[in-house]
This record gives sequence, structure tokens and C-alpha cells, in this order.
Amino acid sequence: MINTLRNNDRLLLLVFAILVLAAPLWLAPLGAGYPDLMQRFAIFGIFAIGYNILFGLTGYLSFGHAAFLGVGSYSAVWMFKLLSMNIFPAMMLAVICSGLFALLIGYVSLRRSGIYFAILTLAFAQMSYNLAYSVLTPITNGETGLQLSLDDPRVLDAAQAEGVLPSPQLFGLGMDATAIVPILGMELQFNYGFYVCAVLLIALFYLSMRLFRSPFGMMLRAVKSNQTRLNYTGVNTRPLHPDGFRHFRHVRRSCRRTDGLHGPSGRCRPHAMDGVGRGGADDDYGRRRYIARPGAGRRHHQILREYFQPH
Amino acid sequence: MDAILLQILNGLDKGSAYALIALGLTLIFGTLGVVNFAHGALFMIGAFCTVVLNNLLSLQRVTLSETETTPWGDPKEITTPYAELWFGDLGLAMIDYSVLWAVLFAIPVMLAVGIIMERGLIKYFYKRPHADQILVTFGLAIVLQEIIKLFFGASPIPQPAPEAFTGAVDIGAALGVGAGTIIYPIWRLFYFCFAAVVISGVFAFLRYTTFGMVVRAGMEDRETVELLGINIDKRFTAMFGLAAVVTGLAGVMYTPILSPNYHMGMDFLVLCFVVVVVGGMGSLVGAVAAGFLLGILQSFAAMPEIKAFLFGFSIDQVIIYLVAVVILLARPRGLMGRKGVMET
Repeated sequence: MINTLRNNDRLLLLVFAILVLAAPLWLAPLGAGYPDLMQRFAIFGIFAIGYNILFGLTGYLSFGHAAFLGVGSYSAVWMFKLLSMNIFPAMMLAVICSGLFALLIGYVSLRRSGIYFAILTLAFAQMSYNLAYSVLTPITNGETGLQLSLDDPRVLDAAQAEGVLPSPQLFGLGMDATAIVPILGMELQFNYGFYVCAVLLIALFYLSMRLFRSPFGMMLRAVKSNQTRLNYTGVNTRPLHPDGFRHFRHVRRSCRRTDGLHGPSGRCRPHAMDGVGRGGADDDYGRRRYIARPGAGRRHHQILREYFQPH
Repeated sequence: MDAILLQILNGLDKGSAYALIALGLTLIFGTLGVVNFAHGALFMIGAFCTVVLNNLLSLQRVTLSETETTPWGDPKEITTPYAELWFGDLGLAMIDYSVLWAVLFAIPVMLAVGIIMERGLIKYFYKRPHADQILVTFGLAIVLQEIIKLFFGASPIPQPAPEAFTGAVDIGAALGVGAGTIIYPIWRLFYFCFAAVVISGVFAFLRYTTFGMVVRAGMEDRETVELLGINIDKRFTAMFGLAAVVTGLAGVMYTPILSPNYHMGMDFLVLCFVVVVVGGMGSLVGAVAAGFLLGILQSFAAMPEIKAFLFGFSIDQVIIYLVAVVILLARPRGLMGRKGVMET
């Protein structure tokens, strides 16, 4: 999969990965090499990647982006409180919740573009703040903030020692575990929590790079330069809109109908007919490049290609 | 009936502030086509004009008393404001009425701030995309906030209303709905009257003066006005100054109601954007109407009956946004919006 990126991109990814993974080494002389700060760098790096997908590609300036971070944090802490201190389910719930929240906000805000969109998202951000601060106090614990407490259920975790708050972990790997290596009079701190964030950051950086190079990314870029024109080429920019849904289904159906027929040779391929893709199915240009596994549907394959394949 | 009247009155003062700020925003927007995210900062600077003037007026001379001592044995300090020393009772009255003096003080200050802002920064962004304009004004707002915070600190600085305007009046008795049913602070009533005067002043200025006529023509069709040999840029800069003054005055007069702090601008700004969007972007009447409407709505949402009806959730903080969502879903251009305003 990686060899379909351009050479420059591969180099960029490599340099980026090295810089991030070696952060404890080169940040220590600057006095910034402590876990808390580095973790924050990584987290806000991830935040910026997310923001860039919206603003960088489509040019929609959102002031409500921090609300998604907030929703994610609240849902993660609820998972910590109810289920387990493992960060994996917490991350899953955070992604789902903030995704749904974004769907809700986007459904309303994306009715307008440009300046109106910025204002609407700003209003939503302020509304989320007020909701978290006062209205939804039972869920968010208002001004105090949502905190772990000793009598939380945490159904999956083993009982903790009396009077000690558990700390987050990833399948037993404590997030605050740090290896301290003294070098040249400095103490290099290699922290698990940071490396979890760093690996995520690199993975998401790669993902967003794929997104930027994919046909879907091209469409998003086309939204930025001329949305009307993109609509005229048959791409629906608002698939969630009631009219859009109809349109989208229609386009998808017609895609499926022609899919097997419009290959280079125009012959009908079996996997297009029965809707099941083969592993590494060759696409219409005759190159092998997919991760679609046997049994994964053709539609799945199509969506992956749409979103992540470089054009 | 009296409860409804009371809520309407309660909404009026906030609504007046929203209407004034939204009016300023719409003025800038209609003339220059820039969405000024630093507008809340102008409101805040206006409020701090009051603080500055009040501080200046109450500069004190400190002398040591020859006879009296403090409980610790030091000579007692006697503080006398210079204004009192120089002007006697008139000086004391000046300190008392500092909020009203601040109105006069704020007009040139806000005019200068507005013109410097437009000529110094925003001018360079007219031809850039809207996103750039938003980002630069948003950044400017943060810078201004932090400057104010640097000089005045982060805590709110209470400003007294003039002695004659403190207390409340019994409007119920005056309207004949029953004495003691509607009691309303005088300053808020005064604020509403002030806002009404300023708003009608701005509308009259635009409607009945040649300058206003040119500006309105420029809002309709900038190019044609330029082709007629009129330097519309200069007039639009003046309108930016005027908008800054209107917003600043809203801030000056609001200080006895809400103690000025450095982030009051941002709090109001977001609401005022919602007001402008609900009213319809670019429509001056829409902005003013929506300001009062949403202010009153907010005070209705704060009623205990409403809270009880909604199972104890107090929605006065979010009602404006909810209404904005509903209105935008039903009428995407706002209540009085025209087609094609800022829709590129």
C-alpha cells in the first residue's frame, strides 16, 4: 500500500516518523523533553491533522472543532469510569461520539458555506461550552469537570487497592510508565503514553496523506475551488441532505451497474457482477494495489479506493 | 400578564446590547464586506473606556493626617480626589457621573480605534478570501484582549452607575397593572432608551444625510458609486469608525450592568453573530430586530416556569443557538436576509 504514494510523500512520512519518534532525544536539550508536554504535542498534532482535513481540503473554516475534542474527552472519561481504564475502548467511544456529534453539527452548519459556516460553527462551539458548563451538568459535572472517583464501577477492571485511583493503560501497559535514560548530563524520558500518542499521530498522518492524494481528497479540494462546478460533474457534495440521499443512491446504483463494464477492455468482470472483490483486485487501470480482502464486498473495495487510493 | 411584561423588560437591556453590537457588525459587513471577528473586542474596549475615565477622575491626593492615627499608630492617610480639590461639588458630581462622561470620552477614542484598525490592518484583507479575513480579525481580537488583560488584569472591575440612576422603579404602578408587580432597575431602562436613541440616530444619519445616501448607494453598488467620482473607500472607513463608536458606546453604557472584564467581548460576539445571522446578513433592520427578539427570548427561557417545564434543565444559555438552528433550517437567509449577500 505504501508504495503507491509518491516518492516525496514517502520521504516526508519517513522524516516525520523519525522526528516524532525521536522527540524525547531532540526535545530534551530544549528543556521540552518531558512526557506531559510531548504527549500534548502529539495530541495537538492529531487535532491539527483532523482540522486540516476539513479546512485544508475543503476550505470550510470551522470554529467548532475544539468541541469535537471536548466530546471525545468526555466520552473517554465516561468509558474510564464505567468500563475499564484501558484506553482502547475509551478511544473507540470517543471516536464514535465525536463522529456522531460532528454529523449533527455538520448537518446543520453545512447548509451554508463560507462566512456563515464559520459563524454557525462558532455558535455551536459556544453552545457546546454552555451545555457542558451548565445544562448537561449531570453528564459533564459542570465547572468542576468530569473526574474519576473511587466508587466508579469499571466493570472490566480488577479491583484496585483501597484509596488509589487507577491510571489509564493500554492492555496492561501503564500510560505513565517512563524509562529514564541519563545521557550527557541530561535525562531522556521515554514515556509509554507519549509513544502511544506518537504512533497514533504517525498513523493518522499517513492516513490523512492518503486521503489528500485520493479521488475523494481531490473532490474535497474541488469543493474548495468551485463547489457548483463539482456538483455539475455529478458529485454530490451534500450526501446527507434528503435530496442528496436520493441522488447519492442513484449515483451509487449507476456506478455499480456500469462498474463491471467500463474497464479498459470493456469486459464484464465476475467480481463486479457478484459483488465480491478478490484480494488485491485489479482496478480499471490494470494496476494491483488494494487491501480488499477475499470476502470483502465490492462496495467496500470501491469505498476504500474512493477514499484512500492516490489518483 | 405582569410576568410576561417583566420578562420582556428583562430582555430589553440585553437585547439592546445585542442590537447595538449587531448593528455595528452589519454596518461593517454591509459596507466593507468584511466579517469583523474583532467586533467583540471593540465592545470590550468601549467598556474599558469607562474604567479608564473612572480611574482618571478618581485620581486621589494622599495626605497624612496630623491628628488622627490608624490603630497601628501611623498617621492616618486622607485621600481626596483631585477632581474634588479642583472643582468642589462639581468634581464629585463628575466622578459620580463618570459613566456618562465616558460616553463623550469614548466617542473619539473608539473612532480612532476603528479607523486605525481599518486603515492599519483590515484594509489589506479586502481582496483576500473570507477565511483569511476571519482569521486575521479573530487574531486581532485575541491580541486586543490580551493587551487589556495585561493592563487591567483578569478580574472584572465593577463600575458604579450614577447615584441618581441606581435603584429601581415601579413600572407596574406606572402602567396600571398593579403597584409592586413590575419593579425594574432604572439603569437598565436608561440603557434601553440610550440604545433606542443611538439606533435611531444611526438610521437617521444613513437615511437623511448626503453622506448616508452615498454610503447606502455604495452598499448597493460600490462600483457605480466609484465610477461617479466618489471616493467610497474614505466613506467606508468612516463607517467603520462609526460602527466602532456604536459598539463602543454599547460597551460604555453596559458597564454598570456587567463589570468589564477582558473576555466580555468574545462572549457577546458569538451571540451577536448569531443575532446577525438570524436577522439576515447585511440587513440593518434585521440585525436590530433580531437583537431585541433574541434578548427577550433569552429572558423568557430563564423563567422558573420554563425550567420546571423542561425537567429542571435551564436552557437560557442555549436557547439562542437552538432558535438560530431552527431559523436557519427553515429560512437559511435569516429573517430579513436578501439573496446573494456574502454567499460566495
